[in-house]
Amino acid sequence: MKKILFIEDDADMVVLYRDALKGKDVHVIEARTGKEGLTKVDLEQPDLIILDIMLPGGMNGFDVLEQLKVNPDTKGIPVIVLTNLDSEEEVAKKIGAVDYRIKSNTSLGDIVELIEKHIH
Amino acid sequence: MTDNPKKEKQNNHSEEPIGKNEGIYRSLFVASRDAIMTLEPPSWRFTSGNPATIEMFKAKDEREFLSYPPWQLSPEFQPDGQSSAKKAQEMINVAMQKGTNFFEWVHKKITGELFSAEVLLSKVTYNEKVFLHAVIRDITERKKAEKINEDRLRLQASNTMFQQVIEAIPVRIFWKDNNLLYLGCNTLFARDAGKKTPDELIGKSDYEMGWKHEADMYRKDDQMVLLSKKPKINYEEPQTTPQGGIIWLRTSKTPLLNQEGKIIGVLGTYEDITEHKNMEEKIIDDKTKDEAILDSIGDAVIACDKNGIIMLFNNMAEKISGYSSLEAIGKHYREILKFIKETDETISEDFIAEAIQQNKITKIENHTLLINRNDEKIPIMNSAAPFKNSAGDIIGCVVVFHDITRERQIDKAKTEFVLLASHQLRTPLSAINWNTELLLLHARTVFSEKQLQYVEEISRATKRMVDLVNSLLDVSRLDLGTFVVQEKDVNIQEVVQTCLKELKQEIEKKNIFIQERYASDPLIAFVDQKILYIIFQNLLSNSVKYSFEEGNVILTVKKEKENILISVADNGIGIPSNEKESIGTKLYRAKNVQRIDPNGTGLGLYTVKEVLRYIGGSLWFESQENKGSIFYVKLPYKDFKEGRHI
Repeated sequence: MKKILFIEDDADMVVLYRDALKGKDVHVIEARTGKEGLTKVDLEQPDLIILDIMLPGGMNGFDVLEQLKVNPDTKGIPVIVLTNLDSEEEVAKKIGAVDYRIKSNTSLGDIVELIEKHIH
Repeated sequence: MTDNPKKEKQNNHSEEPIGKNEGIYRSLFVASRDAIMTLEPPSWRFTSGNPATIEMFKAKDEREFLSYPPWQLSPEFQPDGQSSAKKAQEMINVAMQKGTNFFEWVHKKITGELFSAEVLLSKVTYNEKVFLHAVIRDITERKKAEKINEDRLRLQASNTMFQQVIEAIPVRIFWKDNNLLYLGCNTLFARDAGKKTPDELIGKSDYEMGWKHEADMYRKDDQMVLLSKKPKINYEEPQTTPQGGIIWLRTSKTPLLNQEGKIIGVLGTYEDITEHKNMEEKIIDDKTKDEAILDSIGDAVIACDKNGIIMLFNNMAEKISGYSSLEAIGKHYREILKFIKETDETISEDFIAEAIQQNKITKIENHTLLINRNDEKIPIMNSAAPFKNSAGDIIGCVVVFHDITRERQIDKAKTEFVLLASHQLRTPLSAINWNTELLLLHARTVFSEKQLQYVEEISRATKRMVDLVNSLLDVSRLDLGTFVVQEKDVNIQEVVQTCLKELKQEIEKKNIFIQERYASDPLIAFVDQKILYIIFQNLLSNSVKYSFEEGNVILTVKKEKENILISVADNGIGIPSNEKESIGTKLYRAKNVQRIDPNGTGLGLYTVKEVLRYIGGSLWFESQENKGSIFYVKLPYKDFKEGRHI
């Protein structure tokens, strides 16, 4: 079973992700802040990370992405940025995100499709 | 003999025998006031001398006179420098050859005194004996008179010359006595004093001139010159004109000395430098004005010569750089101005040297920092322009720049506002969207038909809201100038497919036939993907939305030299001809489309038009109501990388 880490401060959103992924052969892990996300990455070694940009606690999604990409143990984990901020796609991809989606412009179905694409 | 030896010569009596007139001659000889004597060859000593001769040479008697040879009665040399003895012989020879010889001679009395005389030598033959007869007249008095006359003439000439000189030179000349009363002046000076001729000033003081208000000042200088016996040279002072105006003078005064070197007054000269002074004042005025203007400009202005030495450094340049103009002027600009690139902090290209060397206006690259005196990095922007002299040679460079820290802060605030707004608006929309999506998954089995319609409407409305937010964000970015254009190689077909996928439901519902025509496959262009998306998304969704059932939509994408040409044609409802002009206006929607789709935003074509204007492209259309529309887009693209083409 593939492990997917959602670094997302909005718990309600994660509930929706979980529901959308119900029945798929994946294990969903959650983190509310960037810092917690990095800890979970160390602990759980997820196969895919879904990362929000606007995060509480002084560490935003770009900071998390940068740390992941400089660490040899984590730089191979694919990261999809899922945010409501636009115009940041180039920056995110430059740092190492494999994909970038704007939440409001993307359906849950598309997100599930995208996840499946990156874990298989 | 007559009183005039000259006349005697003219009468040419010299060769006449004396014999029969001897008695008469003898009495003339004795009575004549002219000295008459005879000389005989070969010794040419005197053989006789009348009483006038004895008197003339101050001899006691004829015997004493005859005891002197002629050369002893002359100085050693004549005024022309010749030896008297030699010259006397020459004169005798001439007389012997020509019969007479008339000349001037300086004689010496036996007492030693010299005197000037006229001499007439005449050759005489008497009793077959040849001798010379000499008549000598003392012309000392005449000579004296002549000399006085010559001196007088010379003085007159000298005076005339002096007058001409003082009248000809373009300076005012005047001289005063020890009591500071005018002794004389030239006409220029007299006119400055309001008089016609210099004579009108003589004996008058400065208090009687047009410049009586300045008289004390002038007299003080005169007295100083008289007392110190030293000149006062080239100083500036004002003078009141006869008309009451003020002119400016450059004056020199010097003591006036007589032949004995005694001070007898003061000599002054001056030039009228009013024009020069006015010009000087104007230059200073202009300079002060220019400096004031430069100092009040909100931009830093620096001028360097062609060697890069700073010549001008205004207030704002001082403020931004932290150096005072005193510190900066005279130094090379590189010592004062350090520019680095904001991106990697390497030294910025030397745009100042470039402006001077390449004779062109150069812009400071955007994202340039100036390191000031306190090592603070200040974002700046602007340009350097060479300047030339009248011959067209580059003589320096003007550098203008300003601190854009505040503009940067505003830009940042604008960008942050739009970013935040987009995030805050989209977050609840995503929640509604996704919740509705999940609800719809289950709704079909749980809800009644009516309930299902409600949920579907929530879903559609949310999507419209998302579109609206996206359009509003694009529009506000375009309006704020914060729309970021990021060009990269984009596969045009992929962008079209994304848009068509979003429209899939509606295309299928109306059974619309979409035809895609590309110049090549794949069609790759170096453009901003987001802009392409905005164009295709809006044009395609409009053509689908405003097509009739079973309609046809034809999308064509081809390339020109520097533009991508896109056209989207449909056979739909078209645009009423009276509304064509309003199409593309912000929030405007044509009447016929409002009937079909009351929920449109009125931002679609406006966004397309604005985004194209932003990057230098254009949008136009052809349309006929109820027949259809063709929308055309000209999208400029940058150079295709080598080996790539569309």
